[in-house]
This record gives sequence, structure tokens and C-alpha cells, in this order.
Amino acid sequence: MKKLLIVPALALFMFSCSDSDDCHECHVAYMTDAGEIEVEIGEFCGTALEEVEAPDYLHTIEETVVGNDTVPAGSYEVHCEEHGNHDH
Amino acid sequence: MKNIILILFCLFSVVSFAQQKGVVTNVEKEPLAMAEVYLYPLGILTQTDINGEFNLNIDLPPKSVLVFSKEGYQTFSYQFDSAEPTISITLKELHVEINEIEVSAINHQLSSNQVIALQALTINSFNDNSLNLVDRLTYIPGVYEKSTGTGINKVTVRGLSGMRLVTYLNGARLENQQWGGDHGLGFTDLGIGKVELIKGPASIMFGADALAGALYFVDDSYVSSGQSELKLISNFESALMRYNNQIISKWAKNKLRMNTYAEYGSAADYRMPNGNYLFNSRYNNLAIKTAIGYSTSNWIINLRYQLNSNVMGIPAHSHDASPTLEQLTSSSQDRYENRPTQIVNNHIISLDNTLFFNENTLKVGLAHSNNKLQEFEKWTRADYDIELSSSQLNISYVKALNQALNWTFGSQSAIQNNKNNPTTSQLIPDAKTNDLGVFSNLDYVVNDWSFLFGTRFDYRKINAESNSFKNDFNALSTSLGFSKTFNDHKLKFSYSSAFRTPHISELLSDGVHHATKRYEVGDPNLIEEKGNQLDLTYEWFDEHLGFIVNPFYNNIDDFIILSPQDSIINNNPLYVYEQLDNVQLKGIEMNIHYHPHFLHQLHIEERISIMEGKSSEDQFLPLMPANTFQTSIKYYFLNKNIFNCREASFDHIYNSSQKKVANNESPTDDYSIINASLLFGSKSNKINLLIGVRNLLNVEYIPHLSRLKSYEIPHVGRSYNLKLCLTI
Repeated sequence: MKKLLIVPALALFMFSCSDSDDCHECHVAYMTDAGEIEVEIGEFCGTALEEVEAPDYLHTIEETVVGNDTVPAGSYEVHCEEHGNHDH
Repeated sequence: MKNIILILFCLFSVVSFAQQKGVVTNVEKEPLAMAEVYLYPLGILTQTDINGEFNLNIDLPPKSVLVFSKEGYQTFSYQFDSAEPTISITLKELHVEINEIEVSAINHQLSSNQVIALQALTINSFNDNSLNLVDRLTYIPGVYEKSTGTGINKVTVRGLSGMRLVTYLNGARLENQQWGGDHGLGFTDLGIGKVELIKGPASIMFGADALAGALYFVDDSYVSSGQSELKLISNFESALMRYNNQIISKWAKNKLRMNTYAEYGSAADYRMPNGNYLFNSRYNNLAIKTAIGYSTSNWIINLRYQLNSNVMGIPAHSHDASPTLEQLTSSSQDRYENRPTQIVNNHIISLDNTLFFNENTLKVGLAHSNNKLQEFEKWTRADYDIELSSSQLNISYVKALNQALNWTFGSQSAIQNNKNNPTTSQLIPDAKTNDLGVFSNLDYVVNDWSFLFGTRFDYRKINAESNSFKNDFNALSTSLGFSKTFNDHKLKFSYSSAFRTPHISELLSDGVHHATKRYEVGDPNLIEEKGNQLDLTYEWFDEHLGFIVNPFYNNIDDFIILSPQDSIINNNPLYVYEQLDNVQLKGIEMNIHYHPHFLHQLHIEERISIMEGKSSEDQFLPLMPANTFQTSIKYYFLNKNIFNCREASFDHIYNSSQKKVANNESPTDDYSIINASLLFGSKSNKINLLIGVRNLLNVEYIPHLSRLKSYEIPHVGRSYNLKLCLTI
């Protein structure tokens, strides 16, 4: 019977070990014929993250040079997920 | 309260067992130790002792079947007879055995009397070199995997999947938004003992929708009274840096038995043959499961609960309409949660009752499931949040009209409620679905002949108030067939019809399906699909060679497809559900098993699946699997050391090129991959270790049914697998 109790005890332990991470690096994406250019806009947490991810929110940036490309000033949708081919 | 405790105590502690004994020997009358004795329908597994003896210290219901098996020997089934004082069983050495089924959990028929196209596969958690449960199922000819990376997998049977394939778990029908190509099976092999598969229309037993067939998963066995077992299974897969741990405990005393299970697994992005990683193909899964069984000589009850919680990254995400492979892959491997992500929580609770009245049996099954599917592109809000609850009541009565003729009749009913979180966007609307089916089957077994005749009426009502949609569907299904055994030959033929009502996703979709990057639009005027299948099976076995040949022809009217259109909505390509007048699926499946006389431990098996799907306009259908040729070579070692190598296994899988493609579909090249494994075990069977490698030659290949094919993303590269199983 003792063996029977081990599994539920471990399952409870696993459920209690969930972590949470509420801060994420965000960017705006500017599409060109050569592909996407990302402009990093910083880290957002909690309610600030909720605001920039709201359906109608657009983030305004100045003209920004990224490598050899220029992203014009304007208001853009914000993305806070990471993409492939990035160094972490 | 005291009275309740007293009643429960009396219920669980009164002991009145039949102490029937038995012995298992080989043909030389030598006792066979550690032979397995499976008690059907109780689902209890026990073993013979060092003298080949076993005790049945439990009351067995009438018509119970004892299935005896041991590695290297032919499986033998025995109809229990309480009048026999001692059961003496002789097991012959194994030569050729292809189909594993003995007593079907679906229709309770012995394999020798089976008429329908039914195949079974044992799911062993420790001696299996497969990547996942769906990969394991592809060992059955006619079964293919439709994948999105390695975390999201669906089963395809004879070219059909999704809503057309019904999945059952111990009598409870699984409802997990299976209409979506990116919505996977949803559970792992935790606590699964075997799977039975009906290929082709199976409405007669499983109701509306079972146009492609039915997958029926059966739980792992209980231990016998007075025994307990604790098992730890740990698995590591190198290409995914995946670890997966399962803990299993089993306990039984008197008439009560209980199994409990827990699992946690985590996989990082998978490594492709070129050494890069598919970004966001990571996933993790958590599961708990329990089964409680109680039985008397005329009543069996099982209460089961399981929770599966999966967090799966959706790979191939980019803001570009046509991303390059470089944009979707990464030079480093990560496992932390990212976006987009699919989060699925699935609860299933079921209660099965079987009551025996002399020669007749009544089964009453209740089940309830709750499936919550969320898809996130953002961190703080879900794009979709859909909750599907389903309640089922299944009743069947098996009446023995005489020794040869059984009549099974009953009903299956279900209520489904699909509900969206109002704060998220919707792809499919809120809807209620009511199902009712009544059926009647006659099974006649005489001499070497078996006959089946079944008929069923189904009614389905769909009500989506938000879309002002209300519609009723009904249809009649039939199934008939025969099997005849003569000497080493067996011939089976069956005809079955089935229908499938359009799903609310096909009727009423209108929105972006984020995981598939499509804007999908349904058609409320779609009507039922109607399928008719002819299935012929010829089996022949002798001592050293056996084969099964299984041609089939499935004709489906009003076939529903998701057709790409030449327009873009909300930056996503538009797909519309349409109906083709008629399609035909035809093919042949073969299984050949060779066992050379000069080397008894060697087994060579070939599994072949060939098929094509065409519309009446002579156009090939999309997503039809490529022809598959699988060769397995197994060598069983007979060492009797304390710890030794037990089994060496080598698999070669050849998938031919697929050039029979639909108009907007790209063809796929052929490929071969090699998997190999060594299984070690202790003499007491308490420790087992598997060392395996998959895709040994690190071949770069793209399966035709991979959802990542359009991005030219190859499947997993060479991967080493280490699995340890400890029994305490």
C-alpha cells in the first residue's frame, strides 16, 4: 500500500514545481523584400507587457538603423516571442 | 458515517475466492517459470512461479479467458472452466506469429473467430525504440504518422485522419478537437497495455465519424491479489535532449485492485541532420492516471481517471509569408517556453460496469471528458481558448442465443458542448452536439466458419445558436462478413458502411487558424460523408513462414476537403471547406514473417503498405501517405546469466517517393532510415535497459505527411535513446 502512495505524492510535487516568468524582450517587425527586420524595444513585464500585447496597441518608433537597413519612423505591432536563428 | 465505513469495510474485505491452481509446461513437460497468465476480462496479469505453477486466487466471471504467454513460445488462450480442478497448459515453441491479438477488447472475440479487419499491438514502455506512441503505431501496416515536429502527432489510417478516425480509451471516446491538423493525440504510452485498430469504416461499433476506422487503447493490466509493484521508467533521447520519467505503482488485495501512474517529460528543439535545431519544436508533458478495479464472480467495475497536460511549441513561426529555412532554425538548442505555443489540458473520467447473467453479459459505461485547448501567439492572452466537454453513456447486452450464436444490442449516446472563451477570437463557434446510436450485431461461429451481421442507426443534432445554425443528421450503417479457417489458411472478407457528419469546424469556421497560418472558412450547407469499404484478408502460416495479404477498397461519397484559394485574408492564405462528389481509396497491406529453422532465435518481418486516393475527377487527393516498406530483424538471446543482452533489433524503413499529389501539393522524395537497439535485462526481469539509435545514418528526409514539408524542414537527425526500467 505504501508503494501506491508514492505516485500521487510525486504527482503533487511535480504540480507544485511550476515556474513563472513574466518579463519578455519585445520587438517590432518591419517587413522588407529581403525579409523581416526587427527593432528591439526593450523588456516588458506584467501589466506593461499586457498593454503592448493588447490587440489594438501600436508602438511608435523613430527612424532606426539596424545593420545596413533603415526602419522608417512609424507605429508598429509589437511581438514578444523569439524567433529562430537568434543567439540566446 | 460509521455505518458507511462498516459497509465499505465489508465490501472490500469479504473473501470468497476460487483457489484454482494450474501449471504451465513446454512440450517436454518441463515447467515454464515466469510465464504470463492474463485473466480476461478482469485485466489482471500474474506469473507462474519457478515450478511453472500459478494460483487463481480470485473469482472469475463466466466465459473468462486465460491467455498464457512467454517469450519464445506461442501465446495460448484457454476458456476458463470452474469444474476443472487443475488447469494444465502446454506452450509450444514460437515460430511465426504476426497478429498479436488474442481476445479483443472491442468485441470480446477470440482472434480465431474474428471477422472484421482488426489488428492489435502491444505497447511496451521499456523495450520499444520508437520516438513516441504514434511512431510506435506505424508498425501496423496501413498506419502512418502526421506530424508537426516531434511534439504534435496524429494517427492516419489508410490515408484518413482527424475527425474520420475515432479514438477510444478503455471504452471512453476521446474528444480533443481532433479536427485540427495541428491537434495531436494528446496522451503518451503511460499506462497503456495495448492498442487495437479497426481499419476502415467502423460505425457499426463506434458510431458516426468512424469512416477511417477506430483506435482502441486498452489500459495496462492490474496485478493479482496480494501482489504489489513499483516501476520506474526513465528515457533519454539525444536529438531532442528529451528526458521522460514515468512512475507506476500497482496494488491488489482480495477483490480490489488499483494502478496509479505519473509522468513528466521535457524536450528541447530537435536536432536536424545538418546539426541545426528546429526552433520552438520544444514541448513538455505532464500526466497522472489512476485505475481502480473491483470484481465479484458476476460483476466487474473499473473507475478510471487521467489528466494530460501538454505545452507544445509551434515551430516554423515567422512574420515572413515565405520564410527561409534559416529563419526557422537555430544554431543552439533551447527548451524554455516561447511563443507561439499550444497548451492542452485533458481530463477523462470513466466508469465501466460489466454484469454477468448466466451466459449473458450487460455492459454499462459512463464517461466524461473535458478538453481545454489554448493557442498563444502573445504571452498575456490566448488567441484561442476553447473548452470541449463530452459526456457519454454506452450500454450493450450480449445474449447467447445458443452455443454458436451471440446477439449484441445496445445504444451509445453523447452530449458535447464546445465553448469559446469570450475574450479570445473564435475560429469555430460555441455549439452543442447530441448523439444517439442504436445497434444490433449477430455473431455466428460454427466449426471453422465465423459470420457477422450488424446494423446501426445514428442520429446527430448540432446546434450553434451564435451562428443561427441548427441541423439534424441521421444515417443507417451496416457491416457483414465471414471468416473461414482451413488447415494453415484463413480467409476473411467484410463489407462495412459508415457515415460522418460534417464537424462544426467544417460547417462554421470563419477565422485565422494561427497554428496552421490559414484563414479557414466553413460551409453550412455541407452534407454527410458516406463510406463503403470492401476488405479481404488472406492469412497463411506454416512453422517457419507466415504472411497476411490485405487488399481494401473504400469508396466515399461527398468527401470534405479543405481547399486552398487564390486569396489572402488578414495576411493569411484563404482555405475553404468543400465537398467532392466521390473519392476512392484503395491499396494493399502485407505482413510477412520468416523464422529460419536453423536459427530459432532469429525473426525477420516485412510490413508493406501501398495505397492511393483519387477523386472521381481522376485527381489525386492531398496528404495521401507514401508507400512504406518496413523490415525488422530481431534476434533473441537465450543467455541465462544474471544480467544479459536479451534482444537485438534492427529496423529498415523505406518510404517511397510520393508523386501522386493533389493540384496544390508538392511531391516528396523517397528515403530510407535505419533504427537499431539492444535490450538488456536481469534474470529476475527487475532491471531492463534499452540502448537504441534512430536514423543511424543521419539521413536528411522530409515525411510526406509532415506539416512542415512546405518549409522544407527535415525530420529528426541521428538520435541515441537510452531507456531504463526498474521494478521494485
